[in-house]
Amino acid sequence: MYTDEDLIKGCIRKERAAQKVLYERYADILLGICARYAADTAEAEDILQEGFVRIFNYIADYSGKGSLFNWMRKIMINTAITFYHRGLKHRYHQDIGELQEAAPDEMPGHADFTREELLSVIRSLPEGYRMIFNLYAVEGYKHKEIAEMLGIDINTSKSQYSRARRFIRQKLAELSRVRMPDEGKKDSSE
Amino acid sequence: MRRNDDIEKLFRERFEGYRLKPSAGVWQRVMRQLRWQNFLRFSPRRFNIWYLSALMAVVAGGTWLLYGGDKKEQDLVLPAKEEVRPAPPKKNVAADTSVSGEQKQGKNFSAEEKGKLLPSKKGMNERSPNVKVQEKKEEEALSDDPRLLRDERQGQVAEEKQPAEDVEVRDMAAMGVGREPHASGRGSEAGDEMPVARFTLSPRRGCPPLEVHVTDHSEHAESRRWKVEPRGYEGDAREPVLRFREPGTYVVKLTVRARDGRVAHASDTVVVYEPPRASFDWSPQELTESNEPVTFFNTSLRAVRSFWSFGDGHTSLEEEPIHHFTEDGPFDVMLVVWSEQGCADTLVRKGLFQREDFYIRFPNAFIANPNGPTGGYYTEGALANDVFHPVWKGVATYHLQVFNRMGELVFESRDLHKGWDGYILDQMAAPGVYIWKATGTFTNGKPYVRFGNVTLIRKKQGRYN
Repeated sequence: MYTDEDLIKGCIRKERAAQKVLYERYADILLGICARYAADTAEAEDILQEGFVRIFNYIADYSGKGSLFNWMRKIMINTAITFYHRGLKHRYHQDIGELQEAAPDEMPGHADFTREELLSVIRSLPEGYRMIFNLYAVEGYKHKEIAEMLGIDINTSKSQYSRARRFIRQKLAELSRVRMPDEGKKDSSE
Repeated sequence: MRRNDDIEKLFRERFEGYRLKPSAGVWQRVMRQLRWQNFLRFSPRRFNIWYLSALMAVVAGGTWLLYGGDKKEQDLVLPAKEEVRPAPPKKNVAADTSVSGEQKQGKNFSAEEKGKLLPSKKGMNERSPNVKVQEKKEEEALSDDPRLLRDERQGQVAEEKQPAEDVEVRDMAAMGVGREPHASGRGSEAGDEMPVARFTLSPRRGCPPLEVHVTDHSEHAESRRWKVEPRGYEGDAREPVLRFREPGTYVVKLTVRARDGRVAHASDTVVVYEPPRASFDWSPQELTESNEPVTFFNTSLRAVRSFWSFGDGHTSLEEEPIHHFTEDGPFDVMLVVWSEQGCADTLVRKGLFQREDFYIRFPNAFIANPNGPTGGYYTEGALANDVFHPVWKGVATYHLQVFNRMGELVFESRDLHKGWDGYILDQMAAPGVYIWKATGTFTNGKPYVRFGNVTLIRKKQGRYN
């Protein structure tokens, strides 16, 4: 069994075997991250692919500070940001004004939302909101850092984030109304 | 607020350690992309696009050499035996030159490629016996061609040995001229002319920012490509104007391409001199009542000549002049310096020696007299530093308070001429930092408030300055 250090050394030497083991060890969990940033699984796999190409190309730059996983996670997030920026040029933009900002007062009892449901909520977010929501709420970056990463104003990040949050709350409320009858779905991947 | 936190917590917890199995094709795609990148990237050890293109160049050159001339002549695929006809030898010359063009391109690769290109050279050498055969079969007009062929090859070898950067434009032009007669000698049908790359630069050296005008003298050029290295203009304007801001040596390269695709190269260098940097300091910093002369210190870089203008109508060519201002400031003092190559730099410092009519300033340290309290009276303008007092002008009223770090008042004065000698009740205060505050009005009626801290330094008993 290889340790991460062995794998890193092997990857620096560009050994196929080491690259393969590294991929097999981390592809699942990294795809779980990519999935949140992508509109669908195909795009998530595209991000994963490009992210791994970057990882293999730049692994010599990995300083050894912090865990290898965090380093790779950062690369995946940056790759997702690259995809987002690339997509901005081609994709249809949902205008912010189009979103009805009906913020329900009561927060649905959320404890029973499955991961798949949450993922579908994230994926239904307009792309810009999705980036900011993921970076802030899940990844835990500061608005200042997000503004730098996405090349936007810090206030844009803040306001988009609060809109994203309102949007999500609304979606969750809808979701809980829809599935009232069939309660008790279990998260299958656990 | 709580609810908002809930959303974040919900998502963070749900996606903690979330795994998703990628489909089987992703790994293959990663590998394919890596292989493709490696292929595009040059490395002497692996087969990659550079080797491939070198290989293709060799194959193409060889093919062209063997069949190209005949095909072109007839627009038909004719077997090699047709060489008996008078025309082909000319075409062989053309074929060889085209190879030379390709080899020059090969030069842009790296050292490894040169080795790879050798076969094509060999091919050419193998070719020469054929030319000789033809020569025998033909008459006087052709006797020239083999020699030219040889010259061509020699020139080319020489060029490969010597990097283009060192080649002066004049030399390149001469080479072009050398080729020309044989180009025009071969019957000037359109598209059969040797391209000649030749240009002049004006000026070729100078001070930044340097504007260099390019004059193109190329012949039979269908298109031209300019490249300035390092990090310079790249483009295909006919006669670009090049601007250089940074000092350094630049190589201007020109590649011209004739209608039939043959290319010729020329290059020349531009030297942009390192400019001087004007800089100066002076002492005393401000004009005092005693009106002593001001010494200017020249701290310029790479300067061999200086010119000073003091702003009061006087100038100097000295390197470090001493100037006596007879009027009150402010003055704009200017220094112009020239480098060995004649590049200039100018520095103007505006508003020097401005006289202030109302000010009060305090020092941030003093050394208490170790021999005993002095009473705090001081001589204005004296160098002694055993009393904490301000320098001032136009002060009408004054109130100074000094506190220790516990906030206790240790000294107080309403007399401008009486500062703090560092003693509290005949006992020297502890060395350290004290906080002071001064309030009052200037003679023009404006109030002032100043505060800060001052360090009391204690010297061992004995001498002090």
